[in-house]
Amino acid sequence: MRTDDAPEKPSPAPPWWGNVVFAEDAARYVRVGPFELWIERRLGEWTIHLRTGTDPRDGALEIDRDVADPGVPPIPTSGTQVHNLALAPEANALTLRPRLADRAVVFSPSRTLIVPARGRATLFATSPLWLELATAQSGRLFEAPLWRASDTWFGDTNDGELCYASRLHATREPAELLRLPHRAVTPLEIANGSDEPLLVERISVPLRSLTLFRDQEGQLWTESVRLEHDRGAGLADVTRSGAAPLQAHGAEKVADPRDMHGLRFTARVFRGLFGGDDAR
Amino acid sequence: MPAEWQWLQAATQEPMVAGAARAALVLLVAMVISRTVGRILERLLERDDIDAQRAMLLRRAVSYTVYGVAALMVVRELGVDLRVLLGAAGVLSVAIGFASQTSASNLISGLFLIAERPFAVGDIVQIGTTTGTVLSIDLLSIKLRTFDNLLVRVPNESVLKTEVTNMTRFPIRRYDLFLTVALDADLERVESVLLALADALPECLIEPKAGVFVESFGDAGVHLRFSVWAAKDRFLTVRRTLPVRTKRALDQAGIALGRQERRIAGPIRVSLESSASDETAGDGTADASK
Repeated sequence: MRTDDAPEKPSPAPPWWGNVVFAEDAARYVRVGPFELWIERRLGEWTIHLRTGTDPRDGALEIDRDVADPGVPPIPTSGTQVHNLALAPEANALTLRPRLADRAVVFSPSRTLIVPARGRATLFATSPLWLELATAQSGRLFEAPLWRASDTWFGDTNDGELCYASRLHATREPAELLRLPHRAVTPLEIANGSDEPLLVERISVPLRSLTLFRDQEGQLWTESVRLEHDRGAGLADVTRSGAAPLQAHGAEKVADPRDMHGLRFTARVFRGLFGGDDAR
Repeated sequence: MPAEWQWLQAATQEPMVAGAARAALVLLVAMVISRTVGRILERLLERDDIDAQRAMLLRRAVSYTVYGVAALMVVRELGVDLRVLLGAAGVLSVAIGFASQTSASNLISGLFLIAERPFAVGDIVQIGTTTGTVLSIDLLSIKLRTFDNLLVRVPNESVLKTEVTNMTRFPIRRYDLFLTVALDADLERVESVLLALADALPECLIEPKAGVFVESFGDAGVHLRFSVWAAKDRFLTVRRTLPVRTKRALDQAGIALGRQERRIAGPIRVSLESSASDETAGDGTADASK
């Protein structure tokens, strides 16, 4: 029996992905955080309407609702991206799949993190997910970000990598993270193997190489990434664990990596206090 | 045996005809080799992800070599003594040199450009007053396609003498929007509005950071430079959207853009002169009902 003092355990968030089955002349609605999707099937023609909000902290979740249901927003006549799909006549379902970002994402701790020489630290960061639309007959159709992250550059103006910027700070405690259906948590284990303190202002994480998992509470996770720094210029050996992180209890795999890199590679992942460029 | 066949047999006995036939065969084989090797190279270069300019140069080098060797073989087959030809070439080169100074200059400039590589095929460059995408870098000229889809041929000599700006060499670019706000505008507020706008546009890079700089104070207001960075393939999007969004953001924030104005200090004496017809009208007052 539950006592009044014991906190109520939240029910697990249901998965928003999977098959959306359609009757002829039907329209369904899906909302994942700031992302809204209307799928319309009229006289053999499929029309997709997409709209993305600007608030990365929006945690709304509406899974496969009929547009005719009360409270479900009608299909907007403007302000959406519209795609028409030429699907086979026998197609009666669309598959929604979560995907990790298609580029590296740059995270920053809420305050500059100093990892002492030969020390280590763990950060937890969240990154926006992508939605992939597919059919059983035609396979993958297209992708859209659930929240459009801003572009950012990681490197100097001569050489570097185009990344996405995560607007939500990385934290030391996973409990401090906002649990959002459109974002996945990545544990970052930073090991400073050098003899100098490592000042971490920003970290670039190659999410294309990571697997996506879902824990028993419905939270999405990537495998943990270990960043071993023992050389200059922000370089680190990046090792992905290849399994669900320890913090994701009862996790099951949801999506494979976009790139099947080896489990270990070297990348420029750190940007310290003294590496900034300005617009001048 | 038919008469035509006998004639053909007799003709092939003639050394000149046989030589010409062999020369034609050599040319044919050279064409086949050049095209086949070109295609194989194209596939290999595509697989190895080599840039378009290097691929073009390599293909041309192979083609020129094959045809050069073929030309020597053809000359020999035609019974021309190469030693005589080379001797004549020495004398002719002086005459040709005088006659084709411009072409030679372009040719040598082309070699310098190929060696220096200030740009490559596919880059967007500004040469003098012309801006466009580099279509080809040839031995005599550069071909550009301008944004209004015109083909512009720029002689290599001119390229070597002129300042050339390569707009796509580096992966990110800065876009500067110059604007003027009213002299009495709160500049700190202007800065925060503009930086919030850059932050909200996904195409504007978060790093390197956007910036707002005061350029000067003038009669029309405070002249500002609003600088944002974008990936080179998103530059045109930023160039197109940022000015419009900036105007909208400033309007919404109630910040007035500058306008040309003169302020005159001190008391001003204004005198009204009435015309002769008004004076004859009597009391000089205006009739509102007219």
